[in-house]
Amino acid sequence: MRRRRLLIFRRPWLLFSLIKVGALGIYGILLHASRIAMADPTQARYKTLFFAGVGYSLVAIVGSVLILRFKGIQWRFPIKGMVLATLAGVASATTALGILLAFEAQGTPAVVMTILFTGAQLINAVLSLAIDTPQAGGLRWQFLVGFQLVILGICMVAIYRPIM
Amino acid sequence: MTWLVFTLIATTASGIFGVLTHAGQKAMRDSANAQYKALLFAGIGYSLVAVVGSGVMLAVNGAQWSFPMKGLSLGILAGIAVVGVIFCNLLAFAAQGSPVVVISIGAAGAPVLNAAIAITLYPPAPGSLRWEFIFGIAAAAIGGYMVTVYRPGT
Repeated sequence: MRRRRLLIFRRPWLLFSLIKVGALGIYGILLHASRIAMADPTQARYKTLFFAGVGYSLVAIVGSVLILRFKGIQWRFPIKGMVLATLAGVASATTALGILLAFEAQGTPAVVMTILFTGAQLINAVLSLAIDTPQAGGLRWQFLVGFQLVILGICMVAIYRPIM
Repeated sequence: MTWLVFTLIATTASGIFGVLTHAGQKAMRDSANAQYKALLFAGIGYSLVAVVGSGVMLAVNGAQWSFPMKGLSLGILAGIAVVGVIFCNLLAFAAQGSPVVVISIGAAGAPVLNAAIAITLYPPAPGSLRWEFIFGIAAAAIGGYMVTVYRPGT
């Protein structure tokens, strides 16, 4: 235990990675719990999304502005960078809305979030390959096996999902 | 299976998010601060949809502007959790963590942790938790890790 603790403190990136896993692991559950706690069968999804947006904005906008001001940067942003990053935020909010709609349609956090986390890696890899196509023979067998494992896993999670 | 359609929409948006964030960061042309600049505008984009969009929908639907404290707090925490993921990525990269390793730890760890917490908090009906479901989570997590680690160009 003592040795493990030391390992994490010697490698701060590992500590941050594990905090990230924790945050990702509870994200869907927090959305689900908030939606239930809103106790509003028709508007709960918008109410939850509204406050998730408030939380996100507090950290992303206020946090970034503070860091950028602290670093004393020039407030100039290339248009392309601004548009792409804003679209990234739109995609992230669309993810949250999709999750909330899936929960409303009787999807459960264990099933919906497993498909989301692993499927997103797959889509991210496919899009990256489409943008930056590798040379012939550039695909490693481990990548292809991983690809098939994700699809197999998603199908099994969806088919054999437990009854709540 | 409506839930699956929404899940796949969310999955696609989440996959696109990673690519757009990376592209936005590169387009900022500022090696030292690009990540914070990208995060700032991602926050603006998220707010546009989540805060303004939801606010408009609630107003159009004539919803009552009363929010239970528990729902409100959990919603805010969910937003903080998702942006916390991005911040932890940035901090891990800054602390010399390899992007491939940092992202693959998330790809493999998050589904397993999420499933464990979800099943504990919302236990399924007795006897309905089948080994195929557990196997599916493990396969998807291992597959997600392999796709991230062995992606061409890594």
